Amino acid sequence: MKPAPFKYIAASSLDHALSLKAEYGEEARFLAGGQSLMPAMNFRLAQPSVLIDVNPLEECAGIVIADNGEIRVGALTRYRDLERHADFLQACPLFADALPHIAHPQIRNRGTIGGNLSHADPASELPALAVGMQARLRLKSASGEREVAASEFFLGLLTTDLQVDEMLVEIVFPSQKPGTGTCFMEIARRRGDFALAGVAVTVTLDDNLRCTEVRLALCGVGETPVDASEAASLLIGQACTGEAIDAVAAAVGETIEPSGNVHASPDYQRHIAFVLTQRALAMAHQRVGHGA
Amino acid sequence: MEPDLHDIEFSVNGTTYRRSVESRILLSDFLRHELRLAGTHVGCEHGVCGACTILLDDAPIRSCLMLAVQANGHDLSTVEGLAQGDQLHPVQQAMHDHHGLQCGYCTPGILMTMTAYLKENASPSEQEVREALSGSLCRCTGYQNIVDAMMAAAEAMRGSTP
Amino acid sequence: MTTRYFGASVKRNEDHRLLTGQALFIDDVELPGMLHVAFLRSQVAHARITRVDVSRALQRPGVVAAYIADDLGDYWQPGPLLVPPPPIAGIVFHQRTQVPLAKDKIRHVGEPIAIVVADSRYIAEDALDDIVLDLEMLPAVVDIEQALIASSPSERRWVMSYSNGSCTT
Repeated sequence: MKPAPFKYIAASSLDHALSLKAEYGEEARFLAGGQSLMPAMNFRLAQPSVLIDVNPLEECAGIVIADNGEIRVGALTRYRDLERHADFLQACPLFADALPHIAHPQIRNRGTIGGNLSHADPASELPALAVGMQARLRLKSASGEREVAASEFFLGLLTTDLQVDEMLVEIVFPSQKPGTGTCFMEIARRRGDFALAGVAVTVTLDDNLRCTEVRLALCGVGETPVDASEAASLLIGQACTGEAIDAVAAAVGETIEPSGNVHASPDYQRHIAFVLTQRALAMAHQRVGHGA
Repeated sequence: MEPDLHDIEFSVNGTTYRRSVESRILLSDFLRHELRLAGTHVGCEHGVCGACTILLDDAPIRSCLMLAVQANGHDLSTVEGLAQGDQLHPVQQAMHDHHGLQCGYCTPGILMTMTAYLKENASPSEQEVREALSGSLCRCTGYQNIVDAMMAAAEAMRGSTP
Repeated sequence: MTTRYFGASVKRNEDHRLLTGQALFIDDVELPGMLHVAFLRSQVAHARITRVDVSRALQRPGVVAAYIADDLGDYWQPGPLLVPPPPIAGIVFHQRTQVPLAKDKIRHVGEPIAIVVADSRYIAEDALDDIVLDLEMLPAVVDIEQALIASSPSERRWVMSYSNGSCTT
């Protein structure tokens, strides 16, 4: 299956890319890693008349850990580079758990975090991480720039708040507080397949090992990542005992409304979300203070 | 619509090519039909089967998910570049010794994945080998012999490093 | 025949060309003037074809030919029954095998309706969008339980299968 014809333009700078997008609007798509866009184009599900190749934009790739501990990731940073960046993985340990689940190594050598978040596949891990970690997304157009919280960015199935002339250029993650443990887990039919459900958990404990903060986000169980931190807040003020964790898992199971798919019924998705919540919370709790 | 043509220059297996290519031509098709390097195969054209895997600047990628025009300025490696004359690359030899291929359709993508991985990790465990190979589908062999071949190739390559 | 090979592990002699990318698979064949084909395939399970018009496809530069079932003349024949049905008393087997191109009726998703021949696969696929196809939708029965529900004695229910034809009970 071959793509329909289009005009290809290799952007020479971010300003160039943005002015092209302003000019062509809906007719143009950005080509980043291409690992989602090219399959769609090969099947002619996507037929842009203009393809703006943003791979040359080195200024939009890279990881910076700021003085205040914030982690700034360029949208065109490839999964491969995130996987190999020890400081990044230490600062954002959920990525260490999640990245190996994304497709396969060959895909990760080209795919980018910005492309992933802009594509907003409901089963994708990184939107759940962004929501769970309360990331901020920097969007730019030829006429300006704005910042959007991850919680406001994912609007629906494959739909984000990106306006027709905008490009996601950077993702900012807050620094992790001391006394925090994290864990991401997912269940898929085979390694690399789309998640039937996935859970990203962050747990912060005080000196008495009581939970002061918890964040919990799921992928694969809704049209967008599901923020179930409210359900998880049952943990706050408690020690992370088995009972406390089970209560959270039950609450999370009630919160979500999975619609099922050809690989999993809604009940099955609900069940694995429950089990993954139990396991991920237990693991995150165990990891507190161990730098993970 | 007139074809959208672009001049590109890149190397494949050390040889430089200069061509004019229509923007929508996939890199996999370009290698196979324009350069007549048909060792790279096409299976699914959406990135899941691994038959089209080549190396772009030493990293394994899906050539069906890349446009030929994007290869401009890069160095590509395909299966045709593995053997040195009559001398098979250790991964090729190991695949033969361990019967890691039957029809051979998935094989080139697997060979390219193997060479790239073993350069980064010369002593993989079996689990690491399985992970490394997870991006290639094989209908014929049941994978075990391919795993054995990669373990054997790793050992052979360690043995011959001075 | 010698007894040397029984029980012996015999090394293959085709591996070298397969491992070095020198083997010839069908799509590797390049001949001067070679043409490429794309099929227009049904997106629906069951429909009557009221109109199929390839004239616009023929006008696309690079398209050499386009055919529908009616163009095939005597070549249009239902396919052979590849696997004869087991003889079971009281069961009548009907042949409903594959056809080269759908004629009058579409009987499954993916059934080919037209074939376009062009200078490249890319152009052949472009030309598929040029083909005008009008359909009258028909109800589709897509599982065995549904197929066994007889709504009236005179109405036939039949189960489609590629190589075996079909049967009624």
